[in-house]
Amino acid sequence: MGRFLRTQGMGYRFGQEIWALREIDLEIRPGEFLGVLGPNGSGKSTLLKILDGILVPQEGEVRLNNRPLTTYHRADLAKEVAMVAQETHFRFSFSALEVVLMGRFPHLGRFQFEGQHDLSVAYKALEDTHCLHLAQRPIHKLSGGEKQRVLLARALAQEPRVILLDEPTSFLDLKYKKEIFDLIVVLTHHKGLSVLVVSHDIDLAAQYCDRVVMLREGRIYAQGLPEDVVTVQNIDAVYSCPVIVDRNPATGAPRVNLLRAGPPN
Amino acid sequence: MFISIAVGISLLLSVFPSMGASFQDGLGREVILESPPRRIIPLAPSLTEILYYLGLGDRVVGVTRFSYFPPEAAEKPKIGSYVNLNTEKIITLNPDLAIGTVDGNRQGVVELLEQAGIPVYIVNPRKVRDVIDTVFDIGALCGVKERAHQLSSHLNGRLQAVSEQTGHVKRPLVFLQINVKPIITVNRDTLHHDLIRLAGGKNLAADEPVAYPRISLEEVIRRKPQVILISSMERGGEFARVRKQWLRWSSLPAVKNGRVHLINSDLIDRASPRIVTGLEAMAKALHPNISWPGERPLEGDGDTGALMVKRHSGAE
Amino acid sequence: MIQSIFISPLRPMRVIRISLALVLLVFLTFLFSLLLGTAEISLGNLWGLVTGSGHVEETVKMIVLKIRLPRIILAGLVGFSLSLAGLVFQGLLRNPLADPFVLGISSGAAFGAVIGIVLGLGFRFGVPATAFAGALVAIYLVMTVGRRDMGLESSTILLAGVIINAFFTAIIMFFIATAADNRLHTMLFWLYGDLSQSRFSESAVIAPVLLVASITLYGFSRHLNLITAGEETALQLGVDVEKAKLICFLAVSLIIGLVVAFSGLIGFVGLIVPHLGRMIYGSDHRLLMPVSALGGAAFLIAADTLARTVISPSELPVGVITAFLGAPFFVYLLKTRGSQWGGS
Repeated sequence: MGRFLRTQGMGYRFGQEIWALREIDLEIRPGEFLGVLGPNGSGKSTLLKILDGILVPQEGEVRLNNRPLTTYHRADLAKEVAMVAQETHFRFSFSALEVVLMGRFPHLGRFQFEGQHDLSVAYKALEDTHCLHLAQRPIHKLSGGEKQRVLLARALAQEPRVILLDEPTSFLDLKYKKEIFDLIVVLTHHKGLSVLVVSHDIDLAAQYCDRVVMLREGRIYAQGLPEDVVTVQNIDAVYSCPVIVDRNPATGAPRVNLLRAGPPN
Repeated sequence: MFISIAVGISLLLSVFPSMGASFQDGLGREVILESPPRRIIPLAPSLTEILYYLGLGDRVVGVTRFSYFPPEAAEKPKIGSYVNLNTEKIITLNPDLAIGTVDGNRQGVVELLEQAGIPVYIVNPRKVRDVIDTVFDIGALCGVKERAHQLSSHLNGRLQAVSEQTGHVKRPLVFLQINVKPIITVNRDTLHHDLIRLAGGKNLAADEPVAYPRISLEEVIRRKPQVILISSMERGGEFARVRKQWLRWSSLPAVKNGRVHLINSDLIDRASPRIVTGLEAMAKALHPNISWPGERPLEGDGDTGALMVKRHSGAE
Repeated sequence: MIQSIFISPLRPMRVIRISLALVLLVFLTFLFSLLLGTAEISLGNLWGLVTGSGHVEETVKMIVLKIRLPRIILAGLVGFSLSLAGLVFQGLLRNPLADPFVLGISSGAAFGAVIGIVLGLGFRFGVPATAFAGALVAIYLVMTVGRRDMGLESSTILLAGVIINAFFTAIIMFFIATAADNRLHTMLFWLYGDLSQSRFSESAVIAPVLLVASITLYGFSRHLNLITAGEETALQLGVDVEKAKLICFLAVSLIIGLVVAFSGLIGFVGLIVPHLGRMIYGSDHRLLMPVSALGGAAFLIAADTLARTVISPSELPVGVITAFLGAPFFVYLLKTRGSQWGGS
């Protein structure tokens, strides 16, 4: 199928500082589960903000359906692309359900209130992220992981075609890490959504993602299938960390093994 | 020969103590002056007026801000405002007498000046008669006793003439407004109250606990004043507007009978000789039908039902 | 603390129901206030007055209809405005302690009004216009001075507000001390507000503008909900944040400008009422806006009635009453803020 969300030769910098991102050629195809890896400061979060049109790159542009992002109204864009940032502070008290319903904003008119359809979309999203029982609870009383799932539900409630997730599993227990990624697989392979996940968890990304991009100091160091990208050389170059990469015995996905330092001589 | 007489006389003079005159001021303090003062600083505009009234204008070496009457006074060097005196400037002008007033001048300033060797005479007129006495006292203090006696008698005469006429008339209930927003009036502890009394009126706010109380519009209306006097502080048009606002309350006796008057605040706010003119103006406003010997016409503004008193040029 | 979460999300019916209940509250406060004051009037008399039957003394009639009525109406409109403005500021700045008075916006409007008066402009359009401009200037200053990483230390913006407040107040004092213009009103008016001697004409100028501004702001109520979750979050969810902020700030400045020009500086209404509203009804602005606005109207009518009766026959400026109630409330908010709104 055609290209969906793509950018070519994109570069971005904050003011007159050094470039946060340079010469980025990236595309996310429909139904694709894309992982973005890289150490802190490699530009991952900035990349997401640019893909969502929140930051505008100085070089290159981002296109959605072959239309530059800048030509979209924010509300129209929100119906196509949803993003969940790494941290959200709620300064005022809302229930989890109210938070998820915020995702319906782009679908409602100015003086319109949420209707039956909006409610069912919200409930479905809560169900998919296993948060239904949290619907009535105030958001700031939820644990980090619970909040994360509610925010993902909100993204789903937008009924987008692309979802951008910044470290969605960082606060989650093992069980929920798996559940979220399993959910994303369903969304992408069965429902045709495109999902881009920024992750610190190389193994998880390697296991689940269809393609993986590795960033180093603002540039794409490697891009492609997990087994081609998650290699000893790449990880050493990008993370400055010697590892051993073998295969997960059950799935065959690449698996990273740390080398603990030996006893001092 | 001459030399010995000169020496003898100077020896004689040196034996006698210097003859300073002692005066008691409005607060009962003793003020001693070596000789009649020639460099006087009045610490309030009303005091400036009194000095000029007594013909002592050329002895005034410094005045406070807003000392616009008589006009010549405005040319003198300024020493700050009467609530905020510039003591340094006062001392630099090297006066041999400063005259202050209880209302406004601050205690600390007085002490400072006295420490600098400047005698300070404080006045404290509570009633209109006290103001006239102050004129005399200041005249005596400055060595023009004769003239002071003449002028103060004349003022007393005018006061007497009015109060004789107003002593036994029926007193209307008077509301005196000295500020627009918020509405502020006067109680019995003020000079204004004494003016109202002498002019033959009854002060609506006499019993309020504070000297210059803020009062609600409702309350004024509830008490149904028969005459409303608005003290005009500044620019003219503003007060015609205020009067117009009062005219809305058509059921008030004062409005029904067309007795809402403006009165020049320079005539009633100052403890100066013009206060007697203020008394005359007020008496006329409260009792248009009375007259007294020696009465002089006051200027009206041609508007039916209202007597606008324009600035009057002091008393002679 | 009452925490209300509702089974189903907000429905229009609920907004309407609660709004009507509050309208009733405002009406009752209004009625009650008409009865109170130095001149005694009973409910029966009032009824007689309204229906034209019954004999009411002319003076009392005049007092109730020409003094109290315009004053209470203005108090209602001013309370409505201040409370609504406070709510909007809290949402836009994501700070529960924001209020036009605290932030110095009201002082900016006062400064604008004073300039207008000194320039000799009329009170119907000229002075409110300069007051509006003054409020805008103040908003700009507060946003520039108080700008920090959002979401973390929001006390910086409060600090900026304190400074802006002091700055404008000093300028106002300067003008009052030197210009000696009667129309400038006393210092007290610009520090504590004053509703005495209110005229119907003042309300007539405020009401239509307020209506338009309120409807506009209500159109952004959902936007505000999202903005309180973070400007970036709101952007991601489809809110044109810059446009929303611009229009809301303009609408609020207009309201504040008018209100301050006519009634001086009255503070804390925009702090107390929205907060109480939030405590009882949650944070959805679609409900909070009418709740705050109507609650503010009732609140200020009551405060003003207190101001004119507590030291009768003298009066207090109404801002003294609101400050008396508001300052301790502000301290309470400051102390409990940490535990109430998560952050994390």
